[in-house]
Amino acid sequence: MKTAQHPLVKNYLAAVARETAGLDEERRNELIADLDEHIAVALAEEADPDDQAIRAVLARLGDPRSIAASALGESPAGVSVRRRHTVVPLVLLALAGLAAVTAPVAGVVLAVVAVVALWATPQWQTRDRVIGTAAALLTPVLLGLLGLLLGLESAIGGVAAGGWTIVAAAIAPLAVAAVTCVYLVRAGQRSA
Amino acid sequence: MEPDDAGKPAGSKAESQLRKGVLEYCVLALLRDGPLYGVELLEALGAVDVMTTSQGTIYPLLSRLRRESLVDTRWQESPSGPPRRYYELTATGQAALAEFATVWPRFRDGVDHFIAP
Repeated sequence: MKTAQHPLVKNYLAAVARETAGLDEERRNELIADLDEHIAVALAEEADPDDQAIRAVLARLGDPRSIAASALGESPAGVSVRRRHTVVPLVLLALAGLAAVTAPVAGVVLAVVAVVALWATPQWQTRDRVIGTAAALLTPVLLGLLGLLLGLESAIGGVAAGGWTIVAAAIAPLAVAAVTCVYLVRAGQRSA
Repeated sequence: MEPDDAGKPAGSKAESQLRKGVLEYCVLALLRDGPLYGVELLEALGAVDVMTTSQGTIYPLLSRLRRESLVDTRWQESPSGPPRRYYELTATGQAALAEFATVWPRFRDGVDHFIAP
């Protein structure tokens, strides 16, 4: 488009592009195409489309920052950022549940990181965070207790019962993590 | 190039919040009598000075109305200059406008009830 080659227009559209860096690419391109079109049409309606006319058209379009603010306000991008933040602590929590069975040390580390992420995310209310923290810490505690039980039972000689305890020890952390994740997803949606 | 200096004043917070709520219905209402292209639409909106602070802020709104299928767009050649993109109301847009048209008088009267001396 011819107008886009005029340095004034080019600078203006570049400023809009800069200010809308947070917007997804499709939206940004659409906005810039809309503005470019507007400028071309507005200038075609001017008797004398000189630099002064271009400046007037751009002035009426307004500050690139306010256009960007309007575009960001209409875009669901803010929501998707929040969703991504929601997912991080939950994935960590689920991984902690899985790791608790296969690699208990990594499980504890992951659980701690998950708790930190949970408190750092604006998504949940304090009550939900306390519940998430308790669940994350419950897994290592539960495992420790079961390990103790297992030790006691093999000391007594109850090998058959020990088999069931191992199954419980494997499933319990997973179940706790799964239930907590479901609860937190619901809680996050409620407050969003 | 200082386009922001020549723009209209941004207005008060109350004004901008009200505008945010009603602007899209004003756009739909402008399209009630037939399709308009962007520049025409913005000139019509700009004729009432509470409705826009700067024309460019309307394009993201138009884009959303298009995504929500309240308006549709089509290109039309022009005898002068580039082809124009016309915005027109869809059936959904008409329904949204009709709904707003029934809500608004009640809303306006309700506010007047408290605000009027």
